[in-house]
Amino acid sequence: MNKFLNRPLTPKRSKVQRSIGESEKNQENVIPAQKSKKIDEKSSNEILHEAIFDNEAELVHQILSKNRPFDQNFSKTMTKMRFAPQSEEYMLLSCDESVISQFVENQRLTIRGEPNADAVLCTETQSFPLKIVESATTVLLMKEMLKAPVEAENETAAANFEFRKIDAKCYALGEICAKSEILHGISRLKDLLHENELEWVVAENSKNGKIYGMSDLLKYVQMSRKEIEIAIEDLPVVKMSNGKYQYLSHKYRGELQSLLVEALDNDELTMENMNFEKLRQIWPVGNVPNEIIHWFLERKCVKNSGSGENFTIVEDELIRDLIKIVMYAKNKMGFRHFQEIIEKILPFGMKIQESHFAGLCEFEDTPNGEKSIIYLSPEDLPDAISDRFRHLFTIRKLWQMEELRPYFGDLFKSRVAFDKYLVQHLEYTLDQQNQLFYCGLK
Amino acid sequence: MQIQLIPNENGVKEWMAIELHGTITPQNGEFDEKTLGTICWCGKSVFMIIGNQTLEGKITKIDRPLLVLHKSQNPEDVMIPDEKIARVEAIVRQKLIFKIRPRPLVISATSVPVQ
Repeated sequence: MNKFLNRPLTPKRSKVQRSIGESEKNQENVIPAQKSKKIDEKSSNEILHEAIFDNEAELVHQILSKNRPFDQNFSKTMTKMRFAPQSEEYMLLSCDESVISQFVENQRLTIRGEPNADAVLCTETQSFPLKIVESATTVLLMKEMLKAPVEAENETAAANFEFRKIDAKCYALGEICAKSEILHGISRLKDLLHENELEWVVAENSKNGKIYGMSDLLKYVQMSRKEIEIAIEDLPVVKMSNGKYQYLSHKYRGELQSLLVEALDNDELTMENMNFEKLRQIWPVGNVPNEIIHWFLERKCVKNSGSGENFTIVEDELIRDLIKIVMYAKNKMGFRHFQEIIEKILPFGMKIQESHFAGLCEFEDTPNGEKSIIYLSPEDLPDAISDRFRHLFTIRKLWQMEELRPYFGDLFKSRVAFDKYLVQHLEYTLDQQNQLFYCGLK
Repeated sequence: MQIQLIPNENGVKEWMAIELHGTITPQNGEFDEKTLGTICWCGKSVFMIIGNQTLEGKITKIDRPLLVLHKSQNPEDVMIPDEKIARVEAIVRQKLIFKIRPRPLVISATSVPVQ
């Protein structure tokens, strides 16, 4: 990140070094000595440089037009390039036209990153990794556009010099890479949000951890505002009335769900007829702020059509949340034991199905013939993509693409981005039926 | 840390770039008011004479435009901690590029008029 906007202290070595002001220097050094000599002792080049120095355009044109490569279509107007009295230094950033047009339309562009990390350029919705281009070229900048002079039709027009100013130099060239389809900053985002999780017992909340609002998160996370919002949607994170985000701890969610299930079992609530007031009655005000009820209705329920502010709890969501609560504490357990526990926890009438485990748990056969269940919720898996793949391959050797996909929904912005990553970075094998299985990282 | 890119208060104009291979070094350490060279226009070709070398180039449109960034020196811009401002002074969409190796400038004695 520090590489941006900081001028390098020492100039880089180059293959070709050119010395500017050379002609003037030659003049300064040579002319006084030559004045005493006869003019025919001057070399042709010296005569040319002298003419250029003295702005004798006609003579310069006359000499050059008889020499290659100036002997064809040589314009009578020549342009002298001179540095401005105080030429400034700038950094150049190579961007796609789409990014430039967003900037021109008054959208903000922001470079984000920690001093020791790579930087990203963010628009409001997207982020692009940035890199410094190491190049042996010199880039000079002119405020005026330079173009070939329009030739006068009259061939007898006199040769002339026009003078143009070089206003600035470039000291570094940056380039934005292809737009990132992976939410790389999610790890940092989760670390920040975990600093002060919301606990059920109010006294446990008085920790020193910082609570972050969107503007704080944007300072520390290398993601655009929209990307942070998308990432937060996948997490148990609630925006409080003060604009700060709070992560609901596993314990907290466990308490919420157990009170909810209890109310459902006691017929105080029904799955299909849920609203703010009813939830307010079962969840204590001291532990559950209103924002969490709104969050629950928005994320875990669907609004009933044509019935005002009534909602239906999504059964699959509730069951998956309960599986998480059971499995988070144990991480791995015998499937029979798990069934016994979950049957006790589930509200009356609800049955667990295989689809409830997708992207949440995997099964493993043990030597004694019993099946065990392993907790693999993306929320608690490693956030670095390669680490997450490694972790999954330690659980099982062979995976099909669709089996892996649910474990990466939080990291990839699109299905295509995930498919592309698999093809580029994973080893695969074929079985006897020519089915493709991924078996490790390249 | 964030660096906000904001447009220059006088608007973002279009500038032009000149790209040369290698580095240029002023003889006494200063570029100010030094002459870089003389551009000669020959049809679609552009030649620049720098000392006793001739560079051949052409004006091209840049595929990916360049934002010209300038670190803000305005004290009001750097009041917010962890946040800096860089002004976008201009956009470069065209450049005069000299990418062919420089050739020596050879002037035949017969081309110089007898004085």
